[in-house]
Amino acid sequence: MPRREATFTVNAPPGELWKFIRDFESLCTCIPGVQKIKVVDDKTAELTVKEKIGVVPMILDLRAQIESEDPPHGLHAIAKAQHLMMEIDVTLRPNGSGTELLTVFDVKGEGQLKGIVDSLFEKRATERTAQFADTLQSHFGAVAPAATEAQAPKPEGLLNRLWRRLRGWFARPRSD
Amino acid sequence: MTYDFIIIGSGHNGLACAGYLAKAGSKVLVLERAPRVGGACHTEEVTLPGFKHNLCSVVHTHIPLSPVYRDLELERHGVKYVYPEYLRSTIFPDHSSIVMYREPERMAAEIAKFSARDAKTFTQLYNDYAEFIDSTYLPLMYSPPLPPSLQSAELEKSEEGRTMLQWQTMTPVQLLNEFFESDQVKVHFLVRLTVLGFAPDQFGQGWIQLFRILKGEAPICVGGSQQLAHGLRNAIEAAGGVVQTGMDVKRILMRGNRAVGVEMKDGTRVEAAKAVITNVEPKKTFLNMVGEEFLPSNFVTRVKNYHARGRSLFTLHLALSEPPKYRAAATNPAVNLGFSQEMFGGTIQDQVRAYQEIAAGRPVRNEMLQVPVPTLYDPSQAPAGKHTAVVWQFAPFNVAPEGPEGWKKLKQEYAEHIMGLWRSYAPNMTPDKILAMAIHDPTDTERENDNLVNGVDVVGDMTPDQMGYFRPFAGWSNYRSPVDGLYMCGGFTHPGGGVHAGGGHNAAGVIAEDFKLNKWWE
Repeated sequence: MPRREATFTVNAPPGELWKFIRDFESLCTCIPGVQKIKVVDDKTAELTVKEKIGVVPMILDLRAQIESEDPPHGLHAIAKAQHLMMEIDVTLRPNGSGTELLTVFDVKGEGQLKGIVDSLFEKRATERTAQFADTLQSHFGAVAPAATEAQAPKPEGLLNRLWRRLRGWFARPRSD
Repeated sequence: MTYDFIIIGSGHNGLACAGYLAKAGSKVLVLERAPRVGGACHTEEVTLPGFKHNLCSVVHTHIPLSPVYRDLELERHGVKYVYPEYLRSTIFPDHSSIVMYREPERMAAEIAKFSARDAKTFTQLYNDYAEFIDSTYLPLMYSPPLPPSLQSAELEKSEEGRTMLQWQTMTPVQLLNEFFESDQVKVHFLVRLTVLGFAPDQFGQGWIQLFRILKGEAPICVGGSQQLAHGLRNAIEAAGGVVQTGMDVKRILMRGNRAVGVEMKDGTRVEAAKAVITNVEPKKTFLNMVGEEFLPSNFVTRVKNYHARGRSLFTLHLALSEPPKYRAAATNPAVNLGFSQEMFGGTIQDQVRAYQEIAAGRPVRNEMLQVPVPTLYDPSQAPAGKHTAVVWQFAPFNVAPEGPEGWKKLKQEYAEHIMGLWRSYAPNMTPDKILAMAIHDPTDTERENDNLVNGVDVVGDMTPDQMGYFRPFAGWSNYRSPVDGLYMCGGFTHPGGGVHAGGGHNAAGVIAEDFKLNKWWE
């Protein structure tokens, strides 16, 4: 199950950034490969995402839903397609004049295409996570990007660090 | 005595399946009729002491990158691979040649010697499809087969996918004619497309053909193929499983429609609390060990019609005082360094005709030769300074008009004929350099391992009606069978014959789900 974290800072206060990411139309301008979006309601959208494998496109019809949110501090969303489920956690923290974003993507292939989906996202997740960060930073103005595979978060409380380490351990990326 | 799972047959798929289940905490017993484990992973000194000959499988293309190698920690259990720098050479009757490289740039340069256009096409194909192959090939091998409708549904969404669907239906010859112009380039790749016995003019091999064109690899198991089986056995025993050789299973014990154990030829019975898993080809498993009376009639029909009629191999195992030196090396020195040399005539029609001859029961008189020399890259398979070679010639199992019996009077003469053909390419292979030779005709292949019916070394033909979702039978390609508690795991299941342990791996996954075992490898 590919899992990626990215921590980066954008040049906008939390309220402004929250408004941007909470709007599906604007958020999707930062998600690589989105071809089409249909907003169903305030918490639900249907997206068509194209991910090319060489010249062969894999076309995913996703239904994304915000499961919980704590404006303007964070949200948890789930996106489902026929052959995969993606969990997205976004945490916003004030950082000087800007906002630090911690994004965590967990992609899990499901059903008969599980192996292929996991393999594909394992290859692409780091690159796509970095692209997401770059685009968002470009939109608001960049502050030192950092997108890494299963990156350790910034210093925080002992219990939180332990919890994250355990989560990270049980959700290590696989190579097949 | 009761075990959770009894696996019949210690071919590498059975061992892999047992390894996963044993590591999941199950009580596992593997029963093998032969005095050794490994099935087609069989290395033996059949010529002279110290010369290790691989009697069936020589190259394990997928094992080192497979989940099985990683999950069962096979390297820790003594299984190591070497990767030849020079993979294969195709040598043509005029002694020109193409050496196969894993690096696309080197491969394209080799192709460019015959056609700049073909080199460009190869590079373009590589750029366009190599990532697709990398992303999909292994996951598809190491998971149960996809229904054709699902594959089509994904591919038909895009123009590129639709092109692949079109390629999927083509014969190897049609596909190569679409891609390339040079006869030599086509011959070189046709050898790869027919490696599992798929006839050059047969429709529907699928886009697996692209893999064979774009990806080259030839990992050799250090010490011989048998070492893989030994490593798998070590992994099972380290997890508390039991492997017994010399145990001839006569029948699968039934209670109602449930397999509950096995009975040996000597009458000994062993109970299986959860399931019996067969690594024995379908006809022997279902018609002999289970019995038609326990099976739905349509399933019996499918079993009876499971076929192994494709080409077999006539094999010479040689102990050599020096490696072969080819005339082709005068213009392409890398030929002599290739792990395997292949001589299949000058045009793709030569191969088409050879397959037609074989189908008619006529041993082919011209060269359809493949000659691996494992000791070039693994000296441990022969005494110091000496070499082994295996000379394979495509051949029929049934020789017209006598059938298999025909080989008795033909064997020696055909071996000498094959040696003559080979010597015309490698003139140093004179009798004084051949320290010893063991001749195995297709009937010997079946005699050594009766899972390889009619000497077909992929446990049943790899034809479109017996591949993927249809292997061994549509509706039963999920490793289950109509008998409760009886599963299948051999080369007759997806992804088919060859040494990759896909069937064993996938069967273990299905069994773990059915019995709610810990799928520790996910």
